[in-house]
Amino acid sequence: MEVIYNLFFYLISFVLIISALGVVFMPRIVYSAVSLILAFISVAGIFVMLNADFLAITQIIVYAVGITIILIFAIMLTGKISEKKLWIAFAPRTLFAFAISGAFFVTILFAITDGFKLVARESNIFSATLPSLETIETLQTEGTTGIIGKALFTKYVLPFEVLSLLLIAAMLGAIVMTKKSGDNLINHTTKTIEED
Amino acid sequence: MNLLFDIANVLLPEAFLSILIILCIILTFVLKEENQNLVFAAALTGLILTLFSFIFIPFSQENQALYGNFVSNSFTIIFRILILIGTILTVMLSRRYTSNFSNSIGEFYTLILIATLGGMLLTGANDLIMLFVAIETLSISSFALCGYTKLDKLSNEAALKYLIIGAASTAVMLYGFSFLYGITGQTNIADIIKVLPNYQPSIVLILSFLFILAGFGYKLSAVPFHVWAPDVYQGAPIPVAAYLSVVSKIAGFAALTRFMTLIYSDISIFTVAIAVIAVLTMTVGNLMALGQKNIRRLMAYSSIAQAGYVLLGLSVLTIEGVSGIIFYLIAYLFMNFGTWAAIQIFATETGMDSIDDYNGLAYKNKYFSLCLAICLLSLAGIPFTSGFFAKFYLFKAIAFAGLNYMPLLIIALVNTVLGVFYYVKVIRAMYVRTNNGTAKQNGKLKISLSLQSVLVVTVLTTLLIGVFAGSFIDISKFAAKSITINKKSPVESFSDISSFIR
Amino acid sequence: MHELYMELFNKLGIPEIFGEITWPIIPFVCVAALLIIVVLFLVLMERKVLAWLTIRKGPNRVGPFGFFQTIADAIKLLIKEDIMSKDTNKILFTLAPMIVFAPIMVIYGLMPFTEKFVAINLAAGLFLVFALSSLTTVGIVLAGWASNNKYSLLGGMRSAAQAISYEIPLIISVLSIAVISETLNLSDIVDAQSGGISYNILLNWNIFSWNIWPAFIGFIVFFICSIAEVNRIPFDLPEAESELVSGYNTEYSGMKFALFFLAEYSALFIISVLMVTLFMGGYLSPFNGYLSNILFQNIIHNQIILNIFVHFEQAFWLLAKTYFVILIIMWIRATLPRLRADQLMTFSWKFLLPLSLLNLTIVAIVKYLLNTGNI
Repeated sequence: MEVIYNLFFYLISFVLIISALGVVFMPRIVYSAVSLILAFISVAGIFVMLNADFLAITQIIVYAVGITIILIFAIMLTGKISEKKLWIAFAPRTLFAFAISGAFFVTILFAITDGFKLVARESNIFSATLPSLETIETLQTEGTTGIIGKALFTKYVLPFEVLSLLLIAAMLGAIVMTKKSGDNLINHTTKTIEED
Repeated sequence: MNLLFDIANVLLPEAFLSILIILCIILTFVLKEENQNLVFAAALTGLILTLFSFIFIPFSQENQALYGNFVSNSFTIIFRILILIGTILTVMLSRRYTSNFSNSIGEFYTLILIATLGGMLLTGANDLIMLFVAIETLSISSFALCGYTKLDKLSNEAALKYLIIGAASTAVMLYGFSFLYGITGQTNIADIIKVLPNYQPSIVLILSFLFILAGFGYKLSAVPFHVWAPDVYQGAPIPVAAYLSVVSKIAGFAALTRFMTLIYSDISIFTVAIAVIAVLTMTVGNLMALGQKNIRRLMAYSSIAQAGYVLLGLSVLTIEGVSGIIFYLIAYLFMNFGTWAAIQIFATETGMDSIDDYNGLAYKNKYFSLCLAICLLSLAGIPFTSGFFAKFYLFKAIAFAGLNYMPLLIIALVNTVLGVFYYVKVIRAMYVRTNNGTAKQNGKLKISLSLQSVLVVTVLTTLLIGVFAGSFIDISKFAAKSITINKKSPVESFSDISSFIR
Repeated sequence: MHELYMELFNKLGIPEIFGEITWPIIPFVCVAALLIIVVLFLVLMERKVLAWLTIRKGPNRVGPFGFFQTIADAIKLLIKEDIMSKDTNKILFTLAPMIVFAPIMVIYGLMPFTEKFVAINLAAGLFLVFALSSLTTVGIVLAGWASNNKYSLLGGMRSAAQAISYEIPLIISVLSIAVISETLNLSDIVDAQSGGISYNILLNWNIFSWNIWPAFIGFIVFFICSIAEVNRIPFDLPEAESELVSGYNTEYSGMKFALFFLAEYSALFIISVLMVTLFMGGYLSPFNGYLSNILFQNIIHNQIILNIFVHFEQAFWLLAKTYFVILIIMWIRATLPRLRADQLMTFSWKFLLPLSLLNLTIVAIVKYLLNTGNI
């Protein structure tokens, strides 16, 4: 089983890395969006490997579908952008960005492998106390949905309830932005400045 | 674990505020366009009632609510009161401003209330997830408020910049949280404090600190993360700009102070980082403010510089430093709001916000100019205003913290002198220069009652804090005492540093 | 079964690892076969039913009573030329039908057709069904965009807007089922509907403990939304023939069109199976216990053979209920006119959404009272 697990892990990771690179390097923005879907689904696959089934499905429904549909809508509605070639060949800015992100990557790698000394699996940087076999067994058979639900309604009940107000705020903002007859929504100071 | 007990003892104002928000939403959708101003009345009354509900909360003891998600002690209570006062002033500022909106008045107040709820929860959030949700509640409502005048290009620009930079910095902060969670395996801050001493300090902790600092730095507009501030303050509706420069900053400071004192206090690299950011923030803020032509951009850089002074108080990490922060923020709330109220009055009546437009204003509107001048002088820290005592008390805390902090003190003093230049520039425009015809000020300013009262109240309070500085200092000292600083002895922390170098 | 399969590999001398890897693929092969048979039958059924409802004859040339008509059509589709017009986006044009079709195939594997015949029995199966079914929307939007045709684009965007709006009341009405049965596992949801409401005769029939009774409003919302989700009349705006030629699949032909066609009818079947599973007791018989148990227990004494009979009966009940639901959906197609776009949105947001929330509230209250024992 260990072999199969590893096989699947490396397969998914490979797809994830390739598709994530695709998001950046694809020549057209639509391809990037499609590549992004693949990347999100691969992340869901990695969640499945970690026995986090609920999280994996949430990843699909929120990111792979909800967010990418909005992305594709935006691309479709702005016709010019979708035709544009994206890859700006090595401008100085690109190199600079590469340098920064490369340095960032090395720093993080240095940090989580504790100065490259430890292989990630044996690293004791993070307090990863491995769950017992029974726990893994229950996670695999009963899923994590019940656990997450109980945590949401006991330990994290306050953030959970506040989230509802947060969503109302987001909705109110969106409604104000898209309301049609808002002709008066002018910042009167800057308006007159433009007239001057 | 009794829910009602928790709410009555800890979360009563927040509960009131939530009810008020729902009430305002219902009113917004039920009322006709011409009656929308009732939402203003409801919001104002509700906020004042919420302010009074603090009477029922035990002030001097520390209570936790809802599985340790929220902590109420005198420190968080004083910040929540400050946030509420700021919101009341914002709501009063908006009265005149929103009257032109015609069909989206109620939503404006509702969004301000939701942002306030986020800010109040941010001050006492004792769980990483709660902290994140609170910060997002504050931010997302602010994004919507910034772009509220959607037919205005500058407002759109402001909203977009605020949104994009905000999203990026939140992502970075969340990454920092994930490191912290990975180290300790806990989300509750109380649990993290218990586990953290067992942990061999490593670079991961520093990374987590830097990332979280980046997230808070964005809220406080500290220097490497400040670039959004001038554009947002210039483009956003003026009450919103005032709200962002005061209330959102106060909430951010409360959370950062709790975070620093509880989690990141025992390793001195962290305080060094804060000190560096503080110095950068005030220097850049003051230098950039010198050349500004637009008063709103000037106020943006001024508020960046002010955040730098407050961060100084955090960098010493003593009880005196924290009480200095509290006192400074009390004074800052009123003097900054007074300035914004004056800008708002001037802008709504004349439609202008460049400094040159203020030329010769004192000859036409004596009292208005006086009020604005007092607020600006207080921001500059001229003696016998509240700003002076606030700066004095803060700098005293730094001076007593030790000889190591001497350079900081000197830089801060130099910066204070720098600051005087640009604050006085506005005053000079009003009093010394004459109106040479370029500025269109037509006659006396007709000021609506709510704006007038905001200006008068803030100016009077600014003066009163200056007069009764002692009692305010006592309050902030008392509040600061409820903060526990998990500081190891200097020797130990020194060995920590050497363990990094290894 | 697993042991038998591995035994086979041992005997043939192939390393066991290949057996382990190919073992999960077998259910999918079964599912794929099932899917094609189901769709072939559904197309025939739709033609016959519509002909019957509109007093026509329907297909009656190929085979007895025209039964082989759909097979002939399928062969025609497969050997047709695959046309791709010049300005289409070739990659996405090819990819889109696959993105539409693949998730639906996985959903087939999640459905409990009988007690044992569940290819993937997941703890959060119900949730996954909706995640995957919403994934098809991405494919439809891409198909509309890649065709480089304004009718296709309009169809794709209408489809996405419709799917997003109707998914919300759909999922909230399903949430009430999760509240009632306290699980997201589809088999467990079916099991929770057995037993009746009392031990008395007649009242212990399974039909009385179906979820449709406590969540009746939810059932209605689910029914309406599911018709919208599979883009059928009166919600067929994405492919409205009179306005958009054929919507997002206007430019498609040959095998790619066949995939869309297959996906569409599979989705119809899936959503009906889901409706039956969630609200009408799934594979359970409506009576107390299975008929084959009652009828044959004195004749057949071998328990294993009896179990096989029970399985067939379960499949029979599921299919009977499913085809009943499909019949109603076809009936609606034959009777109702198409909605306007604004009516469609208003209906979802202002009518169905509050209704589904009402349903959830009622169910939650009932569940609370039942748990505390006040009823």
